[in-house]
Amino acid sequence: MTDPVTRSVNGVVMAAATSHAPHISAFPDRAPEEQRAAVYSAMTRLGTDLIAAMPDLLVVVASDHFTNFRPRDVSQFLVGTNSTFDEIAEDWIGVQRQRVRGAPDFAAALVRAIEDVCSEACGQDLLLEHGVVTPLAWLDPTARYPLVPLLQNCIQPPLPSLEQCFTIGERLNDLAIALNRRIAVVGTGGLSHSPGAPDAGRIDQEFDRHLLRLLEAGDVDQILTIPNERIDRAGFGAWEIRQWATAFGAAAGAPADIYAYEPIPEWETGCAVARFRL
Amino acid sequence: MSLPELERFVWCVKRDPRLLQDLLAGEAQAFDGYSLSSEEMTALSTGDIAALWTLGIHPLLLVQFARILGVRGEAYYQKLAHLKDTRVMSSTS
Repeated sequence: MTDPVTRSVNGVVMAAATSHAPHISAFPDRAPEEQRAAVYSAMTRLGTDLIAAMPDLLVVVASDHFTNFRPRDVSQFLVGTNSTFDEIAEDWIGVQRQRVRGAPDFAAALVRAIEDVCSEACGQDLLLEHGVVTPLAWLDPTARYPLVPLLQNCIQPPLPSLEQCFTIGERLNDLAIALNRRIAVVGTGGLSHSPGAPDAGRIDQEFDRHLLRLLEAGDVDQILTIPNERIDRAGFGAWEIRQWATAFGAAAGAPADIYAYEPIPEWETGCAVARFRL
Repeated sequence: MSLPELERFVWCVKRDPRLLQDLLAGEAQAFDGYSLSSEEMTALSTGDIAALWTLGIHPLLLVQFARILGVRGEAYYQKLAHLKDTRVMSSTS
């Protein structure tokens, strides 16, 4: 039986962020052994944290890679209102398909809660892809928790601002409190990478380490004002740090503990895993 | 040049096996309903990865299209190796 004291607090009970490159699950042997172990260990640790946090549901904030967003789509945020998620868009990423319960009521409420932050937000059935399922292979491998995917446009301008994403995270906490729910928020994506571009293996360690230092310090102002031009230089995959901003907002700007940072060209990504101290 | 149409075509190929079949079979009707230049149609029908990059297609759509054609991993990046620093991806335009 659950301890009523431990279970007494609603809202965001865990906030974390992690890279989600499909290579992490698809091509384990390509990464050097020590780096692979560091990333897998950190993601497994997040899974342990998740169980200890006892959430009612899990919100995974991810980007989309033209599975749910269309080219020239004007949407900025898509919330998965599915009752269940049964399919994975990609068959090559090394993640087994399994049925995951949704939380359509919370998802629909989330759309309403963020409409004034960005008018281009909508709820619909979504098809899961690596941005969600690759991290979950470590964080929630048995699909223990109902899932609400929140997909942010990180692929085609205009993109939501870092500040908007941070506010979306704050709204997640407000909504969970209003609905008496305990939620875990995990942002996925980044850090520096350029998948599919000629310089895909290039990793901007200076950018990645600077961002992680700011997260460790919980420096909201510095993070939300990182110039777009600087992010662009880290590769267009770094646009996905918006998910880190959302998780950071869900944690009300709390400092992060960095569980791992491994620049892995073989996985085409500066791979990072962090948890915010609530 | 009609980049939006080019990207719309590739996105549809990902989701429509019949369209892919027509493209691979060289059927001209594959391009019905898409306003594509002859250069774009040639790049698509020949699977010219480098040409599609130069035409400006989004890298995610390009790598997914290449995967459908069986061009993956190192083979894919070899086709783009001479094109480093030829395009800047801007988050604001």
